[in-house]
Amino acid sequence: MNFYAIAALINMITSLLLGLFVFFKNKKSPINNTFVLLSLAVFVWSIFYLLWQISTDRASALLYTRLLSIGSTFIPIFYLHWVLSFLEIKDKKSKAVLFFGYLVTFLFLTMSFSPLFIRGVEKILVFDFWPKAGPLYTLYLLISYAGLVGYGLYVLAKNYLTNTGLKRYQIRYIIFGTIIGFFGGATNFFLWYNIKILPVGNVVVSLYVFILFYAMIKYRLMDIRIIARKVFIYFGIAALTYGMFYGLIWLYYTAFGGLFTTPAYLLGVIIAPLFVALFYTADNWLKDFANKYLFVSLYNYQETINKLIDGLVSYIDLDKIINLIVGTIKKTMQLDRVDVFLADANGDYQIFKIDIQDISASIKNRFLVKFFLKNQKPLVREELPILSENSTNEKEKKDFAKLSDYMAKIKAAVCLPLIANKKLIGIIVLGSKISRDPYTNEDLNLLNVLSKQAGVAIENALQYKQIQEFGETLQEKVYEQTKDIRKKNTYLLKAAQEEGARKEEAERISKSKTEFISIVSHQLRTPLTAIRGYTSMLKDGDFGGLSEEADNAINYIHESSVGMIKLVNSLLAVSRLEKGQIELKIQDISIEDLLKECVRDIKLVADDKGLYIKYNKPDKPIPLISGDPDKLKQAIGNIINNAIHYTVEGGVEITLSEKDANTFCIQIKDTGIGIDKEDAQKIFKSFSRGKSGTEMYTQGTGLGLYVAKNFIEMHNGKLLVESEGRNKGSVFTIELPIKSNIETKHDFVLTGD
Amino acid sequence: MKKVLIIEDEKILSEMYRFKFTKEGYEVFAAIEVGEALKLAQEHKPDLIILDILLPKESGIAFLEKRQSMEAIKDIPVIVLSNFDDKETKEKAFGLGAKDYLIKSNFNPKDVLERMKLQIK
Repeated sequence: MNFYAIAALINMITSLLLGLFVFFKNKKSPINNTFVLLSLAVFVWSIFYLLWQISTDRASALLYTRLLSIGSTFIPIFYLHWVLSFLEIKDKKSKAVLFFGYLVTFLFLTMSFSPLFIRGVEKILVFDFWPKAGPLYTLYLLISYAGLVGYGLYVLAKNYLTNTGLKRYQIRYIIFGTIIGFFGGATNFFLWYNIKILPVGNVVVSLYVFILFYAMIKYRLMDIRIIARKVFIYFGIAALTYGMFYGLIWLYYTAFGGLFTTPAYLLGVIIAPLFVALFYTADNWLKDFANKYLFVSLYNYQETINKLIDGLVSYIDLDKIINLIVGTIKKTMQLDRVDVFLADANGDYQIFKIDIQDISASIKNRFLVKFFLKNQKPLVREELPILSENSTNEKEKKDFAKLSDYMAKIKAAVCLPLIANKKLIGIIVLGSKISRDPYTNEDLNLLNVLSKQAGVAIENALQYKQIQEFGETLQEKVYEQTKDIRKKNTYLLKAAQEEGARKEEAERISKSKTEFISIVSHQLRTPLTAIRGYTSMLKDGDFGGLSEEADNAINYIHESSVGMIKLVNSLLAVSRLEKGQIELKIQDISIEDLLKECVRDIKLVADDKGLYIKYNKPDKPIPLISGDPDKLKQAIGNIINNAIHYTVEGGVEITLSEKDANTFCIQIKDTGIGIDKEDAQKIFKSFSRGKSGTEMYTQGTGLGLYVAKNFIEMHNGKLLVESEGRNKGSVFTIELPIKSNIETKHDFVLTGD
Repeated sequence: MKKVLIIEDEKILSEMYRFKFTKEGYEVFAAIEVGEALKLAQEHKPDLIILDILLPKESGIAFLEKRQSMEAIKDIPVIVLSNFDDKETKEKAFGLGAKDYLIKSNFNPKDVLERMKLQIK
């Protein structure tokens, strides 16, 4: 069993298996049938090749060579026929060529056993029995192999240029496979012409069959570049291993004298793990090298898409996300269009941004939507026929067909679903690649992952947008609603400010007035204290006895000073009244006792003047009342004082009585100068004394009655005056409630005069 | 002999009271401001203090506040004798332990003596 026999064996098995597989897959398709024939031809050729390689005598060798030629004779024509079937070429020219091809093949078939074809077998190189080419053989090679296969290649090349997408890629594979297969197989022919080159290419024949098979069967092909890269790395590592292996052996022999010596074993223990580590490093290094220098575009393109997928999670702005997706895909995959459609309220999909002007701006195909909800993966238009084939439902087949037309219409090569929360929130539509290559397996895997990430990212962005818009709308509404309130607010604020300013001003004025009065009063009081003090002590005889005249004089001085002191006190009281500072200290008071005190206080003055003071008790005792004793005493005292001071003869009569259940009266009647009718109300105003008063009592400050009225009114009482007129006396009546709620704090505004 | 401390900055009035009180038989000390007053009080420990409010540098209230921490003088009865008739000051004074608050100009010196007798035990 030599190498070539084994190669033949492999070829035999491969072609048999592939042929059978295709045969049982679909007996109706001409592509499949021609492929089966091709596989059969290869099978026949390989089986006899094997037999020939293991034959030991000349006669059987020659026989087998002839038999294998039968197989190999049919290979070109079946190949061509398959190519034409695969490309679906049915024109007259091709039919003619096919016909011619078959004719020629059968002609050569009849020649198989003729010595013009195969002269005989001879020993050459390692082979005991190698066939020698007859003249017909050369002819055969030219027409069949060069001619038919050449024509096949020519047709393939022509179609490659005009086809797009999947077909194009398949053709590429087929051309590639063809070249491998036929050149590999052609290495057989050298020895036929005594050219001393071994048929090492035999082994790739099965590969060629496999490539054709793959191109035919698969509808989504692997990127050849990726396979090439993998192969490069694999053989790189293999080469490294090979090198290391022989390097070690050389080392062992030179250093240790043999492989199976003790030091060799020990070194091996160290080297083995090192090698494994080296293996991984080498693997990575080779990958990097391959990506950087050999498969640059492939690497960059994959990296970019991966970066996009990772980057999507970090964005929240809808525009940014969609622009990023569209831009990146379009650029790296070199597509003629990329569009994103987002769901609207009706369940249709509206385009997010117009990329091409004449494309419909919305997708309304319900079947597409249903498809995506069921299968959450990319949809390739070229694969629709296959999906349709796999479906058992007649209606579904029709739908697939319609969908394929629709996608063609909107120039969509691939559609990607954007799924979030089990809903189809959008569709990404991809056009064809500018290179007219199809979408490879890797492309579609990347796009699948991308569409999943994009779905999530877009959903987030949409929700974020919603929240933002909601927030803005809310803000607007609130702003609108509160416009009124804010207007009112500003108005109120302004009013309050003005009010505040006015109040402050008023307070300032009031304060300076009060301060002025306080300061002045204090400054006046000091010397007055001295005058009063000393005159009282002189009167008391503290400075020795006084003559009667001196005593009189001192008295006048004393009285004057006391009067002045009283004036100052009144001024202060008024200033406090004006400022509203009065605070009542409420206690239970016996009015009778109070009146008795007042009478006692004024008795001296009354006696001096020769006037009487009469006090009339009430019939029933008046109950205790609530009030400020000080203030009431001042009030009543002021009135009685007034009465005395404005009376020349006669006297003052004070009567306390109960008016009704809740009110009592104090009547102060005098026989004095009376009050003019016109002055009656004026006397209660501050600094007002009435005409008669001014004439008579020069010391009356005009404040007494003002203070009295206010204090009485603070107690919720009333002060009334009656007079018949000048010199007819006056009657002052104080009415006070027995029970009442007395406000302790009082603010006052001085009623102007 | 009972001792009285008068804290009054108006000389004319201080003299007047000193005359009257001495005549009555008291030993009289006089100060014109709070610092001096505190020193004199601590030195002589009077039986009564007559205190004015409107004093130079510090008000009479400050005297009342400061003497709180002086063990020797904090319990001596104080009669405020001032022409400053202010409700808040009155309240403060009583709050700080003053026994009485009299408006100077409303009283003859004789009347002040009467009030003093009520406080001196």
